[in-house]
Amino acid sequence: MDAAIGGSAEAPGAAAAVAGASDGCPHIGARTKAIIDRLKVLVPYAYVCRHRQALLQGRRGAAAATLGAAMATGGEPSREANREATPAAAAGEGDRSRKRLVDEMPAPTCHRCSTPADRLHVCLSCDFFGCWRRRRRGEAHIAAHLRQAGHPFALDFVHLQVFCRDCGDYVYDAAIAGWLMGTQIRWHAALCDSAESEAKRPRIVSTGADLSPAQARYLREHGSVSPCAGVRGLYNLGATCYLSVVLQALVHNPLLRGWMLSDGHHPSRCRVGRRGWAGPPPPQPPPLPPGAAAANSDSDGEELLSGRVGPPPPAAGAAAAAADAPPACMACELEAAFQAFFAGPRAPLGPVRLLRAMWVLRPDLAGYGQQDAHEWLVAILDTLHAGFTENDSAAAAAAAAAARPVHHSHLAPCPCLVHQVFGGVLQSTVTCSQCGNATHAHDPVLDLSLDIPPPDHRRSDHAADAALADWLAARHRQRSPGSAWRPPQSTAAHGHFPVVSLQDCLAHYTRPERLPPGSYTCSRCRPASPAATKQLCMKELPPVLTFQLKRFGHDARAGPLAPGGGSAGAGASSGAIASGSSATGSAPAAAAAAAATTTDKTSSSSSSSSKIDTFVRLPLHIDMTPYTASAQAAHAQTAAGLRASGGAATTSTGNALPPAVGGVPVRSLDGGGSSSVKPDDAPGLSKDTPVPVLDGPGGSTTLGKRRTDATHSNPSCSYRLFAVIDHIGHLDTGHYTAYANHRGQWYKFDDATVTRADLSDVLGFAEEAKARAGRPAKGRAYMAFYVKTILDYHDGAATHVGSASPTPLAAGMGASNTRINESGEWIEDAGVVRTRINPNGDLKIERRGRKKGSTNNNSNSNSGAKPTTAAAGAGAAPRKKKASRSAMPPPPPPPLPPPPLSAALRSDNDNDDEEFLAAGSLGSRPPPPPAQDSDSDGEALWAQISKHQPDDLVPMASPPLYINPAHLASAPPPPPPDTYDDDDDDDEDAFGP
Amino acid sequence: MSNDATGLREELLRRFIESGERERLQEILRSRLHTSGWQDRVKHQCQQVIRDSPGGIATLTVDDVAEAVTPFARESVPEAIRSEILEDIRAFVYRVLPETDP
Repeated sequence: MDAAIGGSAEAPGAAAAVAGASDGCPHIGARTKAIIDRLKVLVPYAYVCRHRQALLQGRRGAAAATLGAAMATGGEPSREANREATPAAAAGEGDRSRKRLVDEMPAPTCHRCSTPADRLHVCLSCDFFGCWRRRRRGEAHIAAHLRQAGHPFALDFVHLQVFCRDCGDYVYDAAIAGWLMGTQIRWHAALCDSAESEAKRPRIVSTGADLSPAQARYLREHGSVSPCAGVRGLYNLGATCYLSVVLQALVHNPLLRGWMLSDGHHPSRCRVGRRGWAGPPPPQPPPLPPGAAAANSDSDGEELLSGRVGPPPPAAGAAAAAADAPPACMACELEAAFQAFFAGPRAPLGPVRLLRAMWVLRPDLAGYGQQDAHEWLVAILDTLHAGFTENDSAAAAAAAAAARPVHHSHLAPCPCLVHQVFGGVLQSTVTCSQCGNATHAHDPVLDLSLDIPPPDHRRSDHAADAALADWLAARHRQRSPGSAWRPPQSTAAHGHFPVVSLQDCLAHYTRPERLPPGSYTCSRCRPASPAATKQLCMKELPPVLTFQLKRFGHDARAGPLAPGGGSAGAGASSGAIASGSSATGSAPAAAAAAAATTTDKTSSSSSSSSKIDTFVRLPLHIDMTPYTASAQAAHAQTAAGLRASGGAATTSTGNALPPAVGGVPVRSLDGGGSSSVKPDDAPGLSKDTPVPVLDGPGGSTTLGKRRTDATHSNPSCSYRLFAVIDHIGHLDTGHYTAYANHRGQWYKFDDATVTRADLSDVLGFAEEAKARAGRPAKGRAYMAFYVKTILDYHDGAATHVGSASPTPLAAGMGASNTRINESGEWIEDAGVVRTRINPNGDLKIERRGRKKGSTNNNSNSNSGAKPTTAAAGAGAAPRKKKASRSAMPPPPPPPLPPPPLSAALRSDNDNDDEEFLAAGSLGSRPPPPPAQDSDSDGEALWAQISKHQPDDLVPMASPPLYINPAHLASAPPPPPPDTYDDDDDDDEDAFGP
Repeated sequence: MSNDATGLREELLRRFIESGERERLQEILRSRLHTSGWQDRVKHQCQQVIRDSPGGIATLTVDDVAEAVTPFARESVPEAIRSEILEDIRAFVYRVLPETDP
């Protein structure tokens, strides 16, 4: 059970700013470099030992393992000293067998007691491995070794934490933590690759401004953190709590925040917001009466909504200006809100302008009535998208942009911020149960609207679980009476009543559904009118996952199909049924979702349905692997294999659909969507386990290979919660509040009131306990926002080459193109000159655009014994970013950013607990300041908590950069730029793994 | 005898780890505990321990927190998960040591 306590995290807290700026353990001092040298040997070894199977599963697994071995030998210092940690590295790539790997990289054992388990630690001064098991309150073996040998530090081999003998605890050092973070990011990439090939994995085009090292240094030196920046209440402007909560959720969205605060959208350059402004912007307008706003904004709003076709006629602009209602740009308003949030004052804000902008842009949402938060979120995202797109298309060739419809296909994702951050792809698979012909339809989604399955569904399973547990316990007692483990006498503490979790909702959402006969015509066996099943899954997961729990409107017990399986699911299913081919939905999901929500809302208020109060447990972290398309495919394969081999899931096969596919019973939807299926009709519904398990307990006699495949989680699918929107009250009237995580501390936002919140409040532990005990519990969570724990940046624009080349988000922001590749190298492209700074601080300047792969080869050969470069080459080959087109010498000294920006950036990065990581271009995030900058007690507490209580989630990304400012200052001047053909850039873009 | 017993334990553990069974079960366990909300509860408990500590975080070590939380963490593992994992481990042991008499 160490997993919970030990966690696998790095030392958290704000991280490496400058090497040597450690404020943690006083004993590390100047030994940082020696420790890191030692870690270079041990950490890859630890990763290989820990993720051996996972690394071996993928195609790249063997390569990664080889790489690990190579990395293990790469560090010179203790090569002879540690025989075990440096097994033979040389081997052919790719065809290494598991046996061989096990032989060559044996699991380490405690040198005293030879146990390979029990929290192994390794001494950082010598070769000693020791366990942490205390025997009769005695000293652990590793502690005894440190004391006897006088060695100061040890490394927790599993959780990769540095233990200091003198402190008697795990310690934090900025530089070490930063190095570990970089290593972790590289190994994360390798693990993701082994779970899913790199080409299939959706990755993010950079969402942040490019900062040159000099700019980053400027920010680091001049920025300051205002303790509460980013936490502000919002005045209620008359039942606008829906706006408050949505805005809080957006402001605390790390990706949106990073983009907005790094000058992603600049109002002075915005073409939408400036339209019609004759002079200086008018002062902040008072809130308009709804009638006026709706009246005089009708034409304007219409025009803006359809504004993608081109610039407006000047008359409209003039009229708007005359009416003192300048056209509104949601992006500008949101940007202003961000600036206000992070500027420093703590007084609540009145989001007047944003509200007005929305009224102008969406007259249908104007008014003082109560609104649906989800509807508003969708509307804001929609208007944001319109604003971004319009700016982009205006900047690009206007005609071409107008002719080209905005693409939402997952092949060519919309490059705007909204779709980069929120946009995922939903896959709807219709399988003909006669011939097995499966057709897929892909639809873009911005959020998932989940039905809440009634908890009764799981009662039977739970009873089965309990029975099984009893049986096992009885058997266990019978077998080994003297065993250390006793089944607890009472399970009342846990309660017997099932609690619906978000995973249950997701499983419900992605369950196979039987389509009513006649609604689908198979393209292969056309004449028959076969039965078919439909199943939804996530084809591509967005960086930010938004869930709406459908508590409103539709009576889930009346008919799950009535409002569609989610607003997006409705679109997906209709597309699939209609075409039956792999058509791609073309309607923007936002519009569909908005429409669906609106209809739901109206129907709800007119019907007699009630709010669903079921408590839904939100997990702090969620693994979306089981709901992805690849997992479902693997599952289907396994199920097929199991059926073929006459396994447990064998059912009577015929032309009718078997009642259970792979142990997951198919819910009958006969009679069309209107007919209802009582949950009680399906007592065997066993979708409570989101991870499909085919083998029962004890059934893994065949080493459980199949099950490993089915349960193997993809690390790139793990998310963490950052905001929750609660709804209190009834269907037609109620109140919204929001919880959001700001720098590791949860806050509750109730309009203008902001209070610190506890994890138990956010997740509703009290209500959960009630629900478990079978008492009525009220679930309040209405929406939940998750962000990927590790962001996987797509480093290049290679996917856009050949298309109409939608501009990547950060394009055109500056003359320089800076990023950090997977190996932790800082790479700055300026014209033909590429500057590379590797994590060791070595600086290298080279000319870009020679031959394919030349740069990488160069760096490999030149960097000598720098294993990190090899890591990038073998584990996750970096894609070269599209180079800036300007042939300029390296960028001029940094422009002075406005103070709010610098403050914001600083505070944005001074995160303690669980900020997200970025694999790839971390360059947009300047290194954070040391932790003592945060002086609110909440922050301090959090900094300390997270420092001392590692969590399995990786805390905050200190960018793995070790830039010695001296290096920068003394950098040799780059060779003079000569005329150079940019065409080679494309070659370089094509360079890949 | 005790030597034999410890040797057996080490050998079992070694096989457990090197066969990949531990990694597989760890993965399953992690996912199960996650789904059941156990992890969030334990995390919350850790925070409580730290907040309730008189000396604050300065006087606590990771081990102290672990010691304080372990009973709760052990006790709050859902029964079904515990049984399942234990059964899998037992199955592994029988597989590796078929001659052992339970």
